[in-house]
Amino acid sequence: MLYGMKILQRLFRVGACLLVPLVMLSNTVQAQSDASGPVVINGCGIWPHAQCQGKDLRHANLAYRNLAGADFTGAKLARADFTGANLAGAIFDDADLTAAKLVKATAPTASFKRAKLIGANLEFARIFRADFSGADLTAANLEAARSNFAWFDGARLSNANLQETKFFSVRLTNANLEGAFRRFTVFLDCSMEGCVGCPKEE
Amino acid sequence: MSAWLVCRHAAWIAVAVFASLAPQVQAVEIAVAPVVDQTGLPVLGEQWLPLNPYRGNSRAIEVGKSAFNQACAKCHGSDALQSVNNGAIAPDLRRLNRYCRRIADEALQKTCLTDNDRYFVKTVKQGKVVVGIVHMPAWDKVLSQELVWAIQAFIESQAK
Repeated sequence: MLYGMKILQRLFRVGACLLVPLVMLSNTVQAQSDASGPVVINGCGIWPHAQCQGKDLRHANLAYRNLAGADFTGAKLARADFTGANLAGAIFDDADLTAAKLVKATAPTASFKRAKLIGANLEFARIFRADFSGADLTAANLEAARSNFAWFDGARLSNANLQETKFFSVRLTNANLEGAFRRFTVFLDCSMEGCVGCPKEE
Repeated sequence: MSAWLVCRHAAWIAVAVFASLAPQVQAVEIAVAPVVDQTGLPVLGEQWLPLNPYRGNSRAIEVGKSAFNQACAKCHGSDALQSVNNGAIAPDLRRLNRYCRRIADEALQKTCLTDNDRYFVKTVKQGKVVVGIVHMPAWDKVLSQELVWAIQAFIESQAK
């Protein structure tokens, strides 16, 4: 009986070992097929350096797309999906990104000035040197996001999820973090003048 | 405390005082207009065109090469060969239109190149300032429309 159980356990283990890489491979293939070929949505070309100022891309699936340097100033992007997208140097100033999905997006030096990111999901996003000055990130999810040298001047982060968010050399001047979830959040060498809800030195 | 230790402390204090007195200087690149012979280059005027009119024009490429090596090479590498010039600190511009070049559909490729050209012109005119750091100076009013398009035509001629 015990021997039979051991064989069953080994079979499960082998099955799991084979299944995991297969699932990962299928996910990769899915991501690549989603990102292949040029697409135009509502007059906006989905490619690097796209000029999509003021365009309507609500609910658009832009996951894993290369949108480096794209300009989405004033665009409507509510619930748009940018999962894993390359947004390096992209401009989202004054854009509406309400409930948008930017999970694992790579957005170094991107600009989100005065953008509306209420309830947006930036989990694990790489937002080094990104500019969120005056942005509204109320109840946004920035769990484990890496925001080295980013600017959040006057940004609203109230009720945001900041669990394990890395704020290294970040400017949080006049930002509002009231009610934000700050478990294991790292605040290192940050400017916090006038910040509400930022940690205080004891 | 020995005399040697006193001297050592005094030296460190002197270094700290000098460091605090030194002015905080930040190196800023200044846009200087290149001197280029533009003979034979069609005049475009003040109104900016949406698409590069010099694409593939051999004279424009020649003028662009001279202008590029005077104005841009310092950061982007001489002859736009960023990856060959190890000292180049700015991005490899030959990759700028790589995505558009791969599009087979002619109309779609033109739309992509129009976007790319707008991005190029905007970047050159406004420069690059990221969270307060000037990575590239603004070239607006320093470079004419003719020279900006000629430089881009040259960069594209160098594309891999």
